Amino acid sequence: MLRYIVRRLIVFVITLLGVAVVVSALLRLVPGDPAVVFLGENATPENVAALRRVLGLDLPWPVQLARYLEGVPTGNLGVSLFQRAPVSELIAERLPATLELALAALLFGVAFGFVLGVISALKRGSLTDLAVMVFAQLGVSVPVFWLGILLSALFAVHWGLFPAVGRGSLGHLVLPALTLGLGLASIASRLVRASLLDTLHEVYVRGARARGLPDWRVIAHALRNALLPVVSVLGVRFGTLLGGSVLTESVFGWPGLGTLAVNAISQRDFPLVQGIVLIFATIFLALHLAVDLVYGVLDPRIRIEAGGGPSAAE
Amino acid sequence: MSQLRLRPPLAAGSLLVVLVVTVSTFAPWLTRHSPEQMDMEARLSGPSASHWLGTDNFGRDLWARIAFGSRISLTIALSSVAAALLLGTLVGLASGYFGGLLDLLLMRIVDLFLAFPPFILALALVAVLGPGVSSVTLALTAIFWTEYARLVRAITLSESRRDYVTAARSLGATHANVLFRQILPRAFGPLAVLATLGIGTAIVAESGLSFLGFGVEPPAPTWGWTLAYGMRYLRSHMWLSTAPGLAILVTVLGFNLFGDGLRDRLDPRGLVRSS
Repeated sequence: MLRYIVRRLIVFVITLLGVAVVVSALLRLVPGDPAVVFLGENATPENVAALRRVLGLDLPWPVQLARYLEGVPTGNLGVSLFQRAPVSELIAERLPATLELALAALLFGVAFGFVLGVISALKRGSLTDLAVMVFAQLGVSVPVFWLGILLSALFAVHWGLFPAVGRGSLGHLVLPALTLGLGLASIASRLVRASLLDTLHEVYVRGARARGLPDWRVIAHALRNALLPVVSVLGVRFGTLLGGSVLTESVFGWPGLGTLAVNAISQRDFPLVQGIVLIFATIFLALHLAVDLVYGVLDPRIRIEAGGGPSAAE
Repeated sequence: MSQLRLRPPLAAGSLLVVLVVTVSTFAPWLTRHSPEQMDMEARLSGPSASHWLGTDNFGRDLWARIAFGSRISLTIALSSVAAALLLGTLVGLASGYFGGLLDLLLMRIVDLFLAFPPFILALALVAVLGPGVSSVTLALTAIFWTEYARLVRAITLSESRRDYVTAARSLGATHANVLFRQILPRAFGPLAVLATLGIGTAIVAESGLSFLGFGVEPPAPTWGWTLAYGMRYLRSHMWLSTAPGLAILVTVLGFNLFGDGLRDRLDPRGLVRSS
Protein backbone atom coordinates (compact mmCIF):
# COMPACT_ATOMS: atom_id res chain seq x y z
CA MET A 1 0.00 0.00 0.00
CA LEU A 2 2.80 2.40 0.93
CA ARG A 3 4.51 1.83 -2.43
CA TYR A 4 1.25 2.58 -4.19
CA ILE A 5 0.80 5.84 -2.28
CA VAL A 6 4.39 6.94 -2.90
CA ARG A 7 4.06 6.17 -6.61
CA ARG A 8 0.84 8.16 -6.89
CA LEU A 9 2.45 11.07 -5.05
CA ILE A 10 5.45 11.10 -7.40
CA VAL A 11 3.15 11.11 -10.45
CA PHE A 12 1.17 13.94 -8.82
CA VAL A 13 4.27 16.10 -8.31
CA ILE A 14 5.61 15.47 -11.82
CA THR A 15 2.24 16.28 -13.42
CA LEU A 16 1.99 19.44 -11.33
CA LEU A 17 5.43 20.47 -12.56
CA GLY A 18 4.29 19.90 -16.14
CA VAL A 19 1.18 21.97 -15.49
CA ALA A 20 3.32 24.85 -14.17
CA VAL A 21 5.48 24.68 -17.32
CA VAL A 22 2.37 24.83 -19.54
CA VAL A 23 0.90 27.72 -17.52
CA SER A 24 4.10 29.73 -17.75
CA ALA A 25 4.21 29.07 -21.49
CA LEU A 26 0.69 30.50 -21.93
CA LEU A 27 2.14 34.00 -22.15
CA ARG A 28 4.11 32.92 -25.21
CA LEU A 29 0.91 31.99 -27.02
CA VAL A 30 -0.42 35.55 -26.98
CA PRO A 31 -0.43 36.76 -30.59
CA GLY A 32 1.91 39.76 -30.67
CA ASP A 33 3.44 41.35 -27.59
CA PRO A 34 1.48 40.69 -24.36
CA ALA A 35 2.67 44.06 -23.02
CA VAL A 36 1.18 45.86 -26.03
CA VAL A 37 -1.99 43.76 -25.79
CA PHE A 38 -2.44 44.89 -22.17
CA LEU A 39 -1.43 48.54 -22.58
CA GLY A 40 -3.07 49.12 -25.95
CA GLU A 41 -1.61 50.30 -29.24
CA ASN A 42 -1.07 53.87 -28.03
CA ALA A 43 1.27 52.98 -25.16
CA THR A 44 4.69 54.66 -25.05
CA PRO A 45 7.72 52.46 -25.80
CA GLU A 46 9.02 53.16 -22.26
CA ASN A 47 5.83 51.82 -20.70
CA VAL A 48 5.89 48.77 -22.94
CA ALA A 49 9.52 48.08 -22.05
CA ALA A 50 8.75 48.47 -18.33
CA LEU A 51 5.82 46.05 -18.51
CA ARG A 52 7.90 43.58 -20.50
CA ARG A 53 10.37 43.61 -17.60
CA VAL A 54 7.58 43.03 -15.07
CA LEU A 55 6.27 40.10 -17.10
CA GLY A 56 9.78 38.73 -17.56
CA LEU A 57 9.43 38.94 -21.34
CA ASP A 58 12.84 40.62 -21.65
CA LEU A 59 14.43 37.37 -20.49
CA PRO A 60 15.05 34.26 -22.60
CA TRP A 61 12.24 31.67 -22.25
CA PRO A 62 14.20 29.12 -20.12
CA VAL A 63 15.14 31.82 -17.60
CA GLN A 64 11.56 33.07 -17.49
CA LEU A 65 10.36 29.51 -16.90
CA ALA A 66 12.94 28.88 -14.17
CA ARG A 67 11.81 32.04 -12.40
CA TYR A 68 8.17 31.03 -12.56
CA LEU A 69 8.87 27.51 -11.27
CA GLU A 70 11.00 28.95 -8.48
CA GLY A 71 8.11 31.13 -7.37
CA VAL A 72 5.36 28.48 -7.46
CA PRO A 73 6.32 26.44 -4.32
CA THR A 74 6.64 29.64 -2.25
CA GLY A 75 3.33 30.97 -3.54
CA ASN A 76 4.94 33.73 -5.58
CA LEU A 77 2.81 33.78 -8.73
CA GLY A 78 3.64 37.31 -9.81
CA VAL A 79 1.68 40.53 -9.51
CA SER A 80 -1.72 41.32 -11.01
CA LEU A 81 -1.28 43.94 -13.72
CA PHE A 82 -4.65 45.49 -13.14
CA GLN A 83 -5.11 45.27 -9.39
CA ARG A 84 -1.40 45.70 -8.59
CA ALA A 85 -1.58 43.12 -5.83
CA PRO A 86 0.19 39.76 -5.51
CA VAL A 87 -1.69 37.10 -7.53
CA SER A 88 -1.48 34.64 -4.63
CA GLU A 89 -3.24 37.11 -2.29
CA LEU A 90 -6.06 37.72 -4.76
CA ILE A 91 -6.50 33.99 -5.21
CA ALA A 92 -6.40 33.28 -1.47
CA GLU A 93 -9.18 35.84 -0.97
CA ARG A 94 -11.48 34.15 -3.49
CA LEU A 95 -10.60 30.48 -3.11
CA PRO A 96 -12.81 29.75 -0.04
CA ALA A 97 -15.94 30.94 -1.89
CA THR A 98 -15.24 28.66 -4.86
CA LEU A 99 -14.46 25.67 -2.64
CA GLU A 100 -17.64 26.30 -0.64
CA LEU A 101 -19.74 26.34 -3.80
CA ALA A 102 -18.00 23.32 -5.36
CA LEU A 103 -18.33 21.29 -2.17
CA ALA A 104 -22.01 22.17 -1.70
CA ALA A 105 -22.69 21.27 -5.35
CA LEU A 106 -20.77 18.02 -4.99
CA LEU A 107 -22.69 17.02 -1.87
CA PHE A 108 -26.05 17.87 -3.40
CA GLY A 109 -25.17 16.22 -6.72
CA VAL A 110 -23.94 12.97 -5.19
CA ALA A 111 -26.71 12.69 -2.59
CA PHE A 112 -29.55 13.53 -4.96
CA GLY A 113 -28.13 11.44 -7.79
CA PHE A 114 -27.59 8.52 -5.43
CA VAL A 115 -31.18 8.53 -4.20
CA LEU A 116 -32.55 8.85 -7.74
CA GLY A 117 -30.26 6.07 -9.01
CA VAL A 118 -31.26 3.62 -6.29
CA ILE A 119 -34.99 4.32 -6.75
CA SER A 120 -34.63 4.01 -10.50
CA ALA A 121 -32.77 0.69 -10.30
CA LEU A 122 -35.22 -0.81 -7.81
CA LYS A 123 -38.23 0.29 -9.87
CA ARG A 124 -36.64 -0.69 -13.14
CA GLY A 125 -38.94 -0.42 -16.15
CA SER A 126 -41.58 1.57 -14.22
CA LEU A 127 -42.79 5.09 -14.90
CA THR A 128 -40.64 6.33 -12.02
CA ASP A 129 -37.59 4.82 -13.70
CA LEU A 130 -38.50 6.49 -16.96
CA ALA A 131 -39.01 9.84 -15.25
CA VAL A 132 -35.61 9.61 -13.55
CA MET A 133 -33.92 8.72 -16.82
CA VAL A 134 -35.60 11.61 -18.67
CA PHE A 135 -34.53 13.92 -15.85
CA ALA A 136 -30.95 12.59 -16.11
CA GLN A 137 -30.87 13.10 -19.88
CA LEU A 138 -32.11 16.67 -19.50
CA GLY A 139 -29.70 17.27 -16.63
CA VAL A 140 -26.61 16.37 -18.67
CA SER A 141 -27.79 18.38 -21.68
CA VAL A 142 -28.89 21.64 -20.06
CA PRO A 143 -26.25 24.40 -20.14
CA VAL A 144 -25.36 25.26 -16.54
CA PHE A 145 -25.56 29.03 -17.08
CA TRP A 146 -29.06 28.79 -18.52
CA LEU A 147 -30.24 26.58 -15.68
CA GLY A 148 -28.85 29.19 -13.29
CA ILE A 149 -30.76 31.97 -15.02
CA LEU A 150 -34.00 29.97 -14.96
CA LEU A 151 -33.66 29.10 -11.27
CA SER A 152 -32.77 32.69 -10.50
CA ALA A 153 -35.74 34.01 -12.51
CA LEU A 154 -38.17 31.68 -10.75
CA PHE A 155 -36.91 31.34 -7.17
CA ALA A 156 -35.22 34.71 -6.72
CA VAL A 157 -36.88 37.24 -9.03
CA HIS A 158 -40.41 35.82 -9.26
CA TRP A 159 -41.03 34.15 -5.90
CA GLY A 160 -38.31 35.91 -3.93
CA LEU A 161 -37.45 32.75 -1.96
CA PHE A 162 -33.67 33.09 -2.21
CA PRO A 163 -31.26 35.96 -2.92
CA ALA A 164 -30.37 36.28 -6.62
CA VAL A 165 -26.75 37.38 -6.20
CA GLY A 166 -23.93 37.48 -3.67
CA ARG A 167 -22.58 35.30 -0.89
CA GLY A 168 -22.99 35.26 2.86
CA SER A 169 -25.92 33.31 4.24
CA LEU A 170 -26.92 29.72 3.61
CA GLY A 171 -29.76 31.08 1.45
CA HIS A 172 -27.23 32.59 -0.94
CA LEU A 173 -25.68 29.16 -1.45
CA VAL A 174 -28.88 27.28 -2.37
CA LEU A 175 -29.46 28.36 -5.98
CA PRO A 176 -25.80 28.32 -7.12
CA ALA A 177 -25.25 24.89 -5.52
CA LEU A 178 -28.41 23.47 -7.13
CA THR A 179 -27.38 24.91 -10.49
CA LEU A 180 -23.87 23.53 -10.37
CA GLY A 181 -24.81 20.20 -8.78
CA LEU A 182 -27.68 19.20 -11.04
CA GLY A 183 -25.47 17.97 -13.88
CA LEU A 184 -23.52 15.86 -11.44
CA ALA A 185 -26.75 14.50 -9.94
CA SER A 186 -27.86 13.40 -13.41
CA ILE A 187 -24.62 11.60 -14.10
CA ALA A 188 -24.53 10.07 -10.62
CA SER A 189 -28.10 8.79 -10.96
CA ARG A 190 -27.29 7.06 -14.25
CA LEU A 191 -24.08 5.56 -12.88
CA VAL A 192 -25.64 4.34 -9.64
CA ARG A 193 -28.57 2.85 -11.54
CA ALA A 194 -26.40 1.04 -14.10
CA SER A 195 -23.92 -0.13 -11.51
CA LEU A 196 -26.61 -1.33 -9.10
CA LEU A 197 -28.45 -3.20 -11.88
CA ASP A 198 -25.20 -4.95 -12.79
CA THR A 199 -24.44 -5.82 -9.19
CA LEU A 200 -27.95 -7.09 -8.41
CA HIS A 201 -27.32 -9.92 -10.87
CA GLU A 202 -24.07 -11.02 -9.28
CA VAL A 203 -23.94 -14.45 -7.70
CA TYR A 204 -23.33 -13.19 -4.17
CA VAL A 205 -26.40 -10.96 -4.30
CA ARG A 206 -28.57 -13.82 -5.50
CA GLY A 207 -26.94 -15.88 -2.76
CA ALA A 208 -27.91 -13.29 -0.17
CA ARG A 209 -31.47 -13.30 -1.48
CA ALA A 210 -31.59 -17.09 -1.43
CA ARG A 211 -30.45 -17.06 2.19
CA GLY A 212 -33.57 -15.06 2.92
CA LEU A 213 -31.90 -11.75 3.86
CA PRO A 214 -34.33 -8.84 3.94
CA ASP A 215 -34.43 -6.61 0.85
CA TRP A 216 -32.71 -3.62 2.41
CA ARG A 217 -29.78 -5.77 3.52
CA VAL A 218 -29.41 -7.24 0.06
CA ILE A 219 -29.39 -3.75 -1.43
CA ALA A 220 -26.92 -2.46 1.13
CA HIS A 221 -24.77 -5.45 0.23
CA ALA A 222 -24.96 -4.71 -3.49
CA LEU A 223 -24.50 -0.96 -3.08
CA ARG A 224 -21.05 -1.24 -1.55
CA ASN A 225 -19.67 -2.80 -4.70
CA ALA A 226 -21.87 -0.77 -7.02
CA LEU A 227 -20.30 2.40 -5.64
CA LEU A 228 -16.73 1.60 -6.73
CA PRO A 229 -17.06 2.64 -10.39
CA VAL A 230 -19.25 5.57 -9.34
CA VAL A 231 -16.52 7.04 -7.13
CA SER A 232 -13.91 6.99 -9.87
CA VAL A 233 -16.10 8.48 -12.59
CA LEU A 234 -17.32 11.21 -10.27
CA GLY A 235 -13.71 12.10 -9.49
CA VAL A 236 -13.14 12.71 -13.18
CA ARG A 237 -16.37 14.69 -13.44
CA PHE A 238 -15.13 17.07 -10.77
CA GLY A 239 -13.20 18.81 -13.55
CA THR A 240 -16.48 19.64 -15.26
CA LEU A 241 -17.79 20.90 -11.93
CA LEU A 242 -14.84 23.29 -11.58
CA GLY A 243 -15.37 24.54 -15.14
CA GLY A 244 -19.08 24.94 -14.45
CA SER A 245 -18.28 26.94 -11.32
CA VAL A 246 -16.90 29.75 -13.49
CA LEU A 247 -20.24 30.02 -15.32
CA THR A 248 -22.35 29.54 -12.19
CA GLU A 249 -20.39 32.21 -10.33
CA SER A 250 -20.94 34.61 -13.23
CA VAL A 251 -24.71 34.09 -13.17
CA PHE A 252 -25.04 34.52 -9.40
CA GLY A 253 -22.32 37.13 -8.87
CA TRP A 254 -20.60 34.66 -6.55
CA PRO A 255 -17.31 36.22 -5.39
CA GLY A 256 -15.08 33.23 -6.16
CA LEU A 257 -12.21 32.32 -8.44
CA GLY A 258 -14.54 32.05 -11.43
CA THR A 259 -15.66 35.68 -11.40
CA LEU A 260 -12.04 36.67 -10.68
CA ALA A 261 -10.98 34.69 -13.77
CA VAL A 262 -13.63 36.30 -15.97
CA ASN A 263 -12.50 39.78 -14.90
CA ALA A 264 -8.83 38.88 -15.34
CA ILE A 265 -9.47 37.62 -18.88
CA SER A 266 -11.52 40.71 -19.82
CA GLN A 267 -8.75 42.96 -18.52
CA ARG A 268 -6.06 40.82 -20.17
CA ASP A 269 -4.40 40.52 -16.77
CA PHE A 270 -2.14 37.65 -17.84
CA PRO A 271 -0.31 36.90 -14.54
CA LEU A 272 -3.65 36.63 -12.73
CA VAL A 273 -5.08 34.36 -15.45
CA GLN A 274 -2.00 32.13 -15.17
CA GLY A 275 -2.30 31.95 -11.39
CA ILE A 276 -5.98 31.03 -11.46
CA VAL A 277 -5.46 28.34 -14.11
CA LEU A 278 -2.63 26.88 -12.03
CA ILE A 279 -4.81 26.76 -8.90
CA PHE A 280 -7.74 25.14 -10.73
CA ALA A 281 -5.43 22.48 -12.17
CA THR A 282 -3.85 21.87 -8.75
CA ILE A 283 -7.25 21.36 -7.10
CA PHE A 284 -8.28 19.04 -9.93
CA LEU A 285 -5.09 16.96 -9.70
CA ALA A 286 -5.30 16.79 -5.90
CA LEU A 287 -8.82 15.43 -6.18
CA HIS A 288 -7.68 12.87 -8.74
CA LEU A 289 -4.99 11.80 -6.31
CA ALA A 290 -7.53 11.49 -3.51
CA VAL A 291 -9.87 9.41 -5.68
CA ASP A 292 -7.01 7.15 -6.75
CA LEU A 293 -5.97 6.61 -3.14
CA VAL A 294 -9.52 5.95 -1.93
CA TYR A 295 -9.98 3.57 -4.83
CA GLY A 296 -6.75 1.83 -3.94
CA VAL A 297 -8.02 1.31 -0.39
CA LEU A 298 -11.43 0.03 -1.55
CA ASP A 299 -10.18 -2.29 -4.26
CA PRO A 300 -6.84 -4.05 -3.70
CA ARG A 301 -6.59 -5.08 -7.36
CA ILE A 302 -5.99 -1.46 -8.35
CA ARG A 303 -2.94 -1.19 -6.11
CA ILE A 304 -1.30 -4.12 -7.83
CA GLU A 305 -2.15 -3.19 -11.39
CA ALA A 306 -1.88 0.61 -11.21
CA GLY A 307 0.93 2.28 -12.98
CA GLY A 308 -0.41 5.01 -15.24
CA GLY A 309 -1.82 8.47 -14.62
CA PRO A 310 -5.24 9.51 -13.43
CA SER A 311 -6.64 7.15 -16.05
CA ALA A 312 -5.64 4.13 -14.01
CA ALA A 313 -8.74 4.26 -11.85
CA GLU A 314 -11.23 4.80 -14.62
CA MET B 1 -31.49 -2.21 -20.31
CA SER B 2 -34.88 -2.89 -21.75
CA GLN B 3 -35.50 -2.74 -25.47
CA LEU B 4 -38.20 -0.19 -24.83
CA ARG B 5 -35.72 2.34 -23.50
CA LEU B 6 -33.22 1.84 -26.29
CA ARG B 7 -35.27 2.65 -29.34
CA PRO B 8 -36.86 6.03 -28.62
CA PRO B 9 -33.59 7.86 -27.78
CA LEU B 10 -32.08 7.22 -31.21
CA ALA B 11 -35.30 8.23 -32.97
CA ALA B 12 -35.81 11.36 -30.84
CA GLY B 13 -32.14 12.27 -31.16
CA SER B 14 -32.17 11.92 -34.95
CA LEU B 15 -35.30 14.03 -35.15
CA LEU B 16 -33.81 16.87 -33.09
CA VAL B 17 -30.50 16.79 -34.96
CA VAL B 18 -32.29 16.91 -38.33
CA LEU B 19 -34.40 19.83 -37.06
CA VAL B 20 -31.37 21.86 -35.95
CA VAL B 21 -29.37 21.11 -39.10
CA THR B 22 -32.37 22.08 -41.25
CA VAL B 23 -32.84 25.41 -39.44
CA SER B 24 -29.13 26.10 -39.74
CA THR B 25 -28.93 25.23 -43.43
CA PHE B 26 -32.05 27.10 -44.50
CA ALA B 27 -31.75 30.01 -42.04
CA PRO B 28 -31.94 32.73 -44.73
CA TRP B 29 -35.19 31.25 -46.07
CA LEU B 30 -36.71 30.59 -42.65
CA THR B 31 -36.29 34.13 -41.37
CA ARG B 32 -37.71 37.45 -42.53
CA HIS B 33 -35.04 39.67 -40.97
CA SER B 34 -31.28 39.78 -40.82
CA PRO B 35 -29.97 38.76 -37.35
CA GLU B 36 -28.03 42.03 -37.05
CA GLN B 37 -30.62 44.41 -38.49
CA MET B 38 -31.71 46.89 -35.79
CA ASP B 39 -35.15 48.45 -35.58
CA MET B 40 -35.36 50.85 -32.65
CA GLU B 41 -39.10 51.37 -33.22
CA ALA B 42 -39.75 47.71 -32.51
CA ARG B 43 -37.34 47.21 -29.60
CA LEU B 44 -38.33 44.69 -26.92
CA SER B 45 -41.56 43.85 -28.72
CA GLY B 46 -43.36 40.60 -28.03
CA PRO B 47 -43.98 37.79 -30.51
CA SER B 48 -45.93 38.91 -33.58
CA ALA B 49 -46.51 37.92 -37.21
CA SER B 50 -43.48 39.95 -38.23
CA HIS B 51 -41.23 38.86 -35.34
CA TRP B 52 -42.12 35.29 -34.36
CA LEU B 53 -40.15 35.37 -31.12
CA GLY B 54 -40.21 39.14 -30.61
CA THR B 55 -37.18 41.44 -30.62
CA ASP B 56 -34.30 42.34 -28.32
CA ASN B 57 -33.40 45.79 -26.94
CA PHE B 58 -31.96 46.84 -30.31
CA GLY B 59 -35.09 45.69 -32.09
CA ARG B 60 -33.25 42.75 -33.63
CA ASP B 61 -35.39 39.75 -34.53
CA LEU B 62 -34.83 37.04 -31.90
CA TRP B 63 -35.82 34.16 -34.19
CA ALA B 64 -33.32 35.32 -36.84
CA ARG B 65 -30.60 35.55 -34.18
CA ILE B 66 -31.34 32.03 -32.99
CA ALA B 67 -31.60 30.55 -36.50
CA PHE B 68 -28.36 32.19 -37.68
CA GLY B 69 -26.72 31.55 -34.29
CA SER B 70 -27.10 27.82 -34.93
CA ARG B 71 -24.67 28.23 -37.83
CA ILE B 72 -21.94 29.58 -35.54
CA SER B 73 -22.51 26.90 -32.90
CA LEU B 74 -22.63 24.03 -35.39
CA THR B 75 -19.64 25.26 -37.39
CA ILE B 76 -17.44 25.57 -34.31
CA ALA B 77 -18.67 22.31 -32.77
CA LEU B 78 -18.26 20.28 -35.97
CA SER B 79 -14.84 21.68 -36.85
CA SER B 80 -13.41 21.32 -33.35
CA VAL B 81 -14.69 17.75 -33.06
CA ALA B 82 -13.35 16.91 -36.53
CA ALA B 83 -9.93 18.38 -35.70
CA ALA B 84 -9.84 16.58 -32.35
CA LEU B 85 -10.91 13.34 -34.01
CA LEU B 86 -8.14 13.59 -36.62
CA LEU B 87 -5.39 14.55 -34.17
CA GLY B 88 -6.50 12.10 -31.50
CA THR B 89 -6.80 9.21 -33.97
CA LEU B 90 -3.31 9.78 -35.40
CA VAL B 91 -1.76 10.06 -31.93
CA GLY B 92 -3.69 7.02 -30.65
CA LEU B 93 -2.73 4.85 -33.62
CA ALA B 94 0.96 5.80 -33.42
CA SER B 95 1.05 5.42 -29.65
CA GLY B 96 -0.70 2.07 -29.50
CA TYR B 97 1.00 0.52 -32.52
CA PHE B 98 4.62 1.58 -32.16
CA GLY B 99 4.64 1.63 -28.33
CA GLY B 100 7.92 2.20 -26.50
CA LEU B 101 9.32 5.65 -26.05
CA LEU B 102 6.91 7.24 -28.55
CA ASP B 103 3.93 5.85 -26.62
CA LEU B 104 5.41 7.03 -23.32
CA LEU B 105 6.01 10.52 -24.66
CA LEU B 106 2.62 10.92 -26.36
CA MET B 107 0.71 9.59 -23.36
CA ARG B 108 2.50 11.99 -21.00
CA ILE B 109 1.40 14.83 -23.28
CA VAL B 110 -2.15 13.48 -23.09
CA ASP B 111 -1.88 13.32 -19.27
CA LEU B 112 -0.73 16.93 -19.21
CA PHE B 113 -3.78 18.07 -21.15
CA LEU B 114 -6.01 16.00 -18.86
CA ALA B 115 -4.50 17.69 -15.81
CA PHE B 116 -6.58 20.80 -16.50
CA PRO B 117 -10.32 20.97 -15.90
CA PRO B 118 -11.55 21.06 -19.54
CA PHE B 119 -13.48 24.34 -19.54
CA ILE B 120 -10.69 26.07 -17.60
CA LEU B 121 -8.17 25.00 -20.25
CA ALA B 122 -10.44 26.35 -23.00
CA LEU B 123 -10.83 29.62 -21.07
CA ALA B 124 -7.07 29.93 -20.60
CA LEU B 125 -6.47 29.40 -24.31
CA VAL B 126 -9.14 31.88 -25.36
CA ALA B 127 -7.71 34.32 -22.79
CA VAL B 128 -4.33 34.32 -24.48
CA LEU B 129 -5.44 33.80 -28.10
CA GLY B 130 -8.22 36.39 -27.97
CA PRO B 131 -11.85 35.90 -29.05
CA GLY B 132 -12.97 34.68 -32.50
CA VAL B 133 -14.07 31.57 -34.38
CA SER B 134 -10.57 30.18 -34.86
CA SER B 135 -9.47 30.70 -31.23
CA VAL B 136 -12.61 29.04 -29.90
CA THR B 137 -12.24 26.13 -32.34
CA LEU B 138 -8.60 25.68 -31.35
CA ALA B 139 -9.42 25.88 -27.63
CA LEU B 140 -12.14 23.24 -27.96
CA THR B 141 -9.90 20.99 -30.07
CA ALA B 142 -7.32 21.20 -27.28
CA ILE B 143 -9.77 19.91 -24.69
CA PHE B 144 -11.28 17.14 -26.84
CA TRP B 145 -8.43 15.44 -28.71
CA THR B 146 -7.17 13.47 -25.68
CA GLU B 147 -10.38 11.41 -25.47
CA TYR B 148 -9.97 10.19 -29.04
CA ALA B 149 -6.25 9.54 -28.55
CA ARG B 150 -6.91 7.36 -25.50
CA LEU B 151 -9.75 5.48 -27.12
CA VAL B 152 -7.87 4.75 -30.35
CA ARG B 153 -4.71 3.82 -28.44
CA ALA B 154 -6.63 1.28 -26.33
CA ILE B 155 -8.23 -0.28 -29.43
CA THR B 156 -4.93 -0.29 -31.34
CA LEU B 157 -3.14 -1.93 -28.41
CA SER B 158 -5.57 -4.84 -28.24
CA GLU B 159 -6.01 -5.22 -31.99
CA SER B 160 -2.30 -5.16 -32.88
CA ARG B 161 -1.79 -8.34 -30.82
CA ARG B 162 -4.40 -10.24 -32.82
CA ASP B 163 -3.47 -12.93 -35.31
CA TYR B 164 -4.86 -11.14 -38.33
CA VAL B 165 -2.42 -8.27 -37.79
CA THR B 166 0.52 -10.63 -37.44
CA ALA B 167 -0.65 -12.43 -40.56
CA ALA B 168 -0.95 -9.20 -42.55
CA ARG B 169 2.50 -8.11 -41.42
CA SER B 170 4.10 -11.44 -42.36
CA LEU B 171 2.45 -11.22 -45.76
CA GLY B 172 4.36 -8.00 -46.30
CA ALA B 173 1.71 -5.38 -45.45
CA THR B 174 3.20 -2.00 -44.60
CA HIS B 175 2.68 -0.32 -41.21
CA ALA B 176 0.42 2.24 -42.87
CA ASN B 177 -1.64 -0.50 -44.45
CA VAL B 178 -2.06 -2.37 -41.16
CA LEU B 179 -2.87 0.83 -39.23
CA PHE B 180 -5.35 2.42 -41.60
CA ARG B 181 -6.80 -0.61 -43.38
CA GLN B 182 -6.85 -3.27 -40.65
CA ILE B 183 -6.91 -1.57 -37.25
CA LEU B 184 -8.59 1.80 -37.78
CA PRO B 185 -11.89 0.38 -39.12
CA ARG B 186 -12.31 -1.46 -35.78
CA ALA B 187 -12.39 1.93 -34.03
CA PHE B 188 -15.04 3.48 -36.29
CA GLY B 189 -18.03 2.52 -34.11
CA PRO B 190 -16.74 3.79 -30.75
CA LEU B 191 -15.30 6.88 -32.48
CA ALA B 192 -18.67 7.71 -34.04
CA VAL B 193 -20.34 7.49 -30.61
CA LEU B 194 -17.68 9.63 -28.94
CA ALA B 195 -17.79 12.23 -31.73
CA THR B 196 -21.59 12.53 -31.62
CA LEU B 197 -21.57 13.05 -27.85
CA GLY B 198 -18.59 15.39 -28.36
CA ILE B 199 -20.64 17.69 -30.61
CA GLY B 200 -23.12 18.22 -27.78
CA THR B 201 -20.32 18.96 -25.32
CA ALA B 202 -18.70 21.33 -27.82
CA ILE B 203 -21.92 23.29 -28.26
CA VAL B 204 -22.30 23.70 -24.48
CA ALA B 205 -18.65 24.80 -24.18
CA GLU B 206 -18.87 27.21 -27.11
CA SER B 207 -22.03 28.83 -25.83
CA GLY B 208 -20.47 28.98 -22.35
CA LEU B 209 -17.49 30.87 -23.74
CA SER B 210 -19.68 33.29 -25.67
CA PHE B 211 -21.96 33.66 -22.61
CA LEU B 212 -18.92 34.98 -20.71
CA GLY B 213 -18.07 37.24 -23.65
CA PHE B 214 -14.99 35.29 -24.80
CA GLY B 215 -16.45 33.47 -27.79
CA VAL B 216 -17.15 34.85 -31.23
CA GLU B 217 -17.47 38.59 -30.79
CA PRO B 218 -20.75 40.53 -30.98
CA PRO B 219 -22.68 41.50 -33.04
CA ALA B 220 -22.39 37.88 -34.25
CA PRO B 221 -25.62 36.20 -33.07
CA THR B 222 -24.04 33.52 -30.87
CA TRP B 223 -26.52 31.70 -28.64
CA GLY B 224 -24.38 32.28 -25.57
CA TRP B 225 -24.13 36.04 -26.01
CA THR B 226 -27.79 36.46 -26.99
CA LEU B 227 -28.63 34.62 -23.77
CA ALA B 228 -26.22 36.66 -21.65
CA TYR B 229 -27.64 39.85 -23.07
CA GLY B 230 -31.19 38.69 -22.47
CA MET B 231 -30.30 38.17 -18.81
CA ARG B 232 -30.31 41.96 -18.37
CA TYR B 233 -34.04 41.93 -19.05
CA LEU B 234 -34.81 38.97 -16.84
CA ARG B 235 -37.49 40.81 -14.84
CA SER B 236 -39.43 42.26 -17.74
CA HIS B 237 -38.60 40.06 -20.76
CA MET B 238 -37.64 36.62 -19.53
CA TRP B 239 -38.17 35.19 -23.00
CA LEU B 240 -35.02 36.93 -24.29
CA SER B 241 -32.82 34.57 -22.31
CA THR B 242 -35.21 31.61 -22.31
CA ALA B 243 -35.39 31.21 -26.11
CA PRO B 244 -31.65 30.95 -26.86
CA GLY B 245 -31.27 28.64 -23.86
CA LEU B 246 -33.96 26.36 -25.26
CA ALA B 247 -32.15 26.34 -28.61
CA ILE B 248 -28.95 25.16 -26.89
CA LEU B 249 -30.83 22.56 -24.84
CA VAL B 250 -32.68 21.13 -27.85
CA THR B 251 -29.47 20.89 -29.90
CA VAL B 252 -27.38 19.34 -27.15
CA LEU B 253 -30.18 16.97 -26.17
CA GLY B 254 -30.46 15.89 -29.82
CA PHE B 255 -26.77 15.02 -30.15
CA ASN B 256 -26.65 13.37 -26.71
CA LEU B 257 -29.70 11.20 -27.39
CA PHE B 258 -28.37 10.33 -30.82
CA GLY B 259 -24.96 9.43 -29.36
CA ASP B 260 -26.48 7.34 -26.57
CA GLY B 261 -28.77 5.56 -29.01
CA LEU B 262 -25.88 4.89 -31.36
CA ARG B 263 -23.83 3.45 -28.53
CA ASP B 264 -26.60 1.13 -27.44
CA ARG B 265 -27.01 -0.02 -31.03
CA LEU B 266 -23.31 -0.66 -31.60
CA ASP B 267 -22.45 -2.04 -28.20
CA PRO B 268 -25.38 -3.23 -26.11
CA ARG B 269 -23.08 -3.92 -23.15
CA GLY B 270 -22.45 -0.20 -22.95
CA LEU B 271 -19.21 1.61 -23.51
CA VAL B 272 -18.14 3.66 -20.50
CA ARG B 273 -19.07 7.22 -21.23
CA SER B 274 -15.84 9.14 -21.10
CA SER B 275 -16.45 12.84 -21.06
